[in-house]
Amino acid sequence: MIELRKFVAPEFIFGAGAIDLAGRYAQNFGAEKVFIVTDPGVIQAGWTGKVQQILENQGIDSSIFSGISPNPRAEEVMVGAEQYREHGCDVIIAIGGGSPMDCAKGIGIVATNDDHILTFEGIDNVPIPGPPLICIPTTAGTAADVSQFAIISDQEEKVKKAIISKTAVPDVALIDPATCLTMDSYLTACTAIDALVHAVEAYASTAHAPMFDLHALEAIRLISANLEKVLAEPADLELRGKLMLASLQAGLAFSNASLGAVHAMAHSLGGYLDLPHGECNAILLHHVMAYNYPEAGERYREIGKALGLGVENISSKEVKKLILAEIIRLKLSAGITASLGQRGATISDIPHLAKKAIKDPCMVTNPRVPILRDIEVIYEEAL
Amino acid sequence: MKKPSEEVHREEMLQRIIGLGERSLKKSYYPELQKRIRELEKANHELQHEIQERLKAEAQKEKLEFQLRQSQKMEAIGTLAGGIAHDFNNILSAIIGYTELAAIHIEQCGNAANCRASNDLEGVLRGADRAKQLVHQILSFSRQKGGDITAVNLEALLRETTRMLRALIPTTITIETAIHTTTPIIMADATQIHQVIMNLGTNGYQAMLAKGGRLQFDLSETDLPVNDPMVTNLQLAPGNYLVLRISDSGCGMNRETLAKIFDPYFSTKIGKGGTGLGLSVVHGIVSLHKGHISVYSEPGKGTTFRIYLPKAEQAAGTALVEAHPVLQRGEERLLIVDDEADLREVLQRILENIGYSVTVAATPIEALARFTATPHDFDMLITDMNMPEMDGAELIDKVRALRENLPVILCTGFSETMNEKSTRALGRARHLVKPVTQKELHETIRSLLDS
Repeated sequence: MIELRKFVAPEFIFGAGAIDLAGRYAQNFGAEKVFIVTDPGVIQAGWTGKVQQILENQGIDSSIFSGISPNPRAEEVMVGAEQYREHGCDVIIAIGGGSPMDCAKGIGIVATNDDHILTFEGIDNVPIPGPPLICIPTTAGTAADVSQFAIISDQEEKVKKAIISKTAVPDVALIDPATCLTMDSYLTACTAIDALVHAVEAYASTAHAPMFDLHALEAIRLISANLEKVLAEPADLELRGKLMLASLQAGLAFSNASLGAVHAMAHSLGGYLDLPHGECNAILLHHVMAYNYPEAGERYREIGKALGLGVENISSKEVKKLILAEIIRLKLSAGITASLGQRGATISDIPHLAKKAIKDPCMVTNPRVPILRDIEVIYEEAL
Repeated sequence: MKKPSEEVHREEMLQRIIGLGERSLKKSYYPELQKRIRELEKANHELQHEIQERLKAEAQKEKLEFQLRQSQKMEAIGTLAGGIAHDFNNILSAIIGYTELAAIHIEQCGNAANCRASNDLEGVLRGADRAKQLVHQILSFSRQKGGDITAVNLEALLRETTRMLRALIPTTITIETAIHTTTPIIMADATQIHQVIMNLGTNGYQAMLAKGGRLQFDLSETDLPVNDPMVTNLQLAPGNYLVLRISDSGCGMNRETLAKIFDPYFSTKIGKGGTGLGLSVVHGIVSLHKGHISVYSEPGKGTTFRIYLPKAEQAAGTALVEAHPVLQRGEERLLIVDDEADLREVLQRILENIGYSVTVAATPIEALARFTATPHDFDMLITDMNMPEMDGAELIDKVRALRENLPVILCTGFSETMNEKSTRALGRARHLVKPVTQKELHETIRSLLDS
């Protein structure tokens, strides 16, 4: 309890209408020209245009960069940084899901440090912070808007690399649940399960601490209680707000406590097969939990409580059964039914996937220390 | 099974994630400030680099200053040693001279009972000869005695010397030779350079006596430009040099020992056969050849000597060899000048003994007076170099003014200005280094008078 710990979080504004503050914050940062990082889906949903209009009303010029893949690539970051400089921008606004936000973090880092983005891979390897960054999330799951993580795809090695640094924390997050209204149900399900995985892994992380635990457990409660409701009532802003809050709380927890094997394995998988991050997490979660159970039983019992399960006064073995069943039920009811095999992975991919996963920084805080073969077995089970 | 190193790494990564002790830069809201931070980071980096460079330069300077102090010290010791050698030579001359005379007298008596005394006198001469060698070593060190300078192929000399070393050194020590030059020619006294290599090789062997090891000889060449620190700080002439590196993997030396190794009579092997003169002689020889010797050593790791010797401009020629004249009796009239009565008497008696008629003078003034009175009564002048009032060279000038081309012999114990070469420049003249033996003296007189 008295261990020295710190809690890193950006200034954030949560609530309907937060997006309207983009202009004021850009002006607070002394912006003359804003570099807007986004993707085609968000542009089509109209959010990018809205932000551009808000800036214009404030008398601030802007330039849009949207050449981003669903898993943002190192080359795209480099092109973005070049454009940022060419257009003489001084503030970055990211609007969208995890991809534009991670890409925007990368662009900022390259713009000030002037080196290839992949040279900053790992923990605390960014010497100088990027220019002011405002994040406006339009999904409820990634929480890149509050985290110190940026995940960039290395196309050469076909793996996603994690850049973990205080300098990757945005300067301000404008979290507006209204932006979630434009998500389809599969994206809603995948991002919500992503947030659930954030909360579960942060809570079970070997770097957990009481003040992060609060946020993790609250996130699990909110998702467990509201995911199915949102999928049934996608236009209910109140319900969307609950999932958005869950995403924020999970983000605050994992940004400080870090993650575990699910993310390490999902990064390897997403980089190799170019699969959506949330879906990878959803497919792997219960397999990893089963593997971790011997080392994380007591923490998982608390997770069971947050999931609303009656886990008191029953054996650890029964708790495990109950929790895994609930996770699988939640996933299937949200419509995530595919296995890794169905999503294109084969048994021959597994050695490569495992080798990359075991080296991922997220693996460091997994409650159980795996050997290579353990990782292979988990992948095999998820096939 | 997890390797412990992996666990340590994992723990280290975990601590970094937890974020204690990390470098945590606060994001700034102002782009201007970001720029300033960047500039400061860069300036800081440059400053660190500059500090490193400066430290390096200071260390280099300190090293060169040490080397300069060292060479100045060697020079001072050299001068002192040379002076002592001069006095010592005069004393030795008397000892050798009287002993030779005593031997002659005993022989003339032809008494067999005196045989034992004869043997004893030989013992005296042997002892005196050893003393003479020692004085020569001191003179080599003090740069006063130059040898025969010819073009020498250092590679051939090195190979020959290492062959000799191989025969002397046990096989627990490997000897390696590497040559990185195609024109290994220097102007040198081959015997002295041989002595240098033998001496350093033997030292290396002694350092590796306990455990065996590697003795490496490496010959390369380098060009020292005018602005090279070796040139500006150590008074080496700019130009091409051969560099002979001699390394052993033996016990090495500490800093304190290192500072003294070239001092005469400093030895770590006193009582074990070391005279303490070896390295000082090596230093003297290298200096005499206008080269430089440096040493690097680490206790327990080994020692490396680096010898710089100026490269010769032309290819190796052949040394001039002098034919020895046949010994015979003489009858010429000689004028001998020496301010030391003992030496004067010894010379007179030795020379009269083999037939010469000898006139002696105690001072150059007296000698000049006698010569001026009857310049044609003398066939040769034999003079000491260092005398009060007038030195030998000046006396020769004055005498030659009266009789051009008079044969002269100049004897020195020690002279900074005269050597074999400069004496020959005087024409019919020879130079002898004291102490001289009867045989040397007679051969020299004949070579002058019979030519």
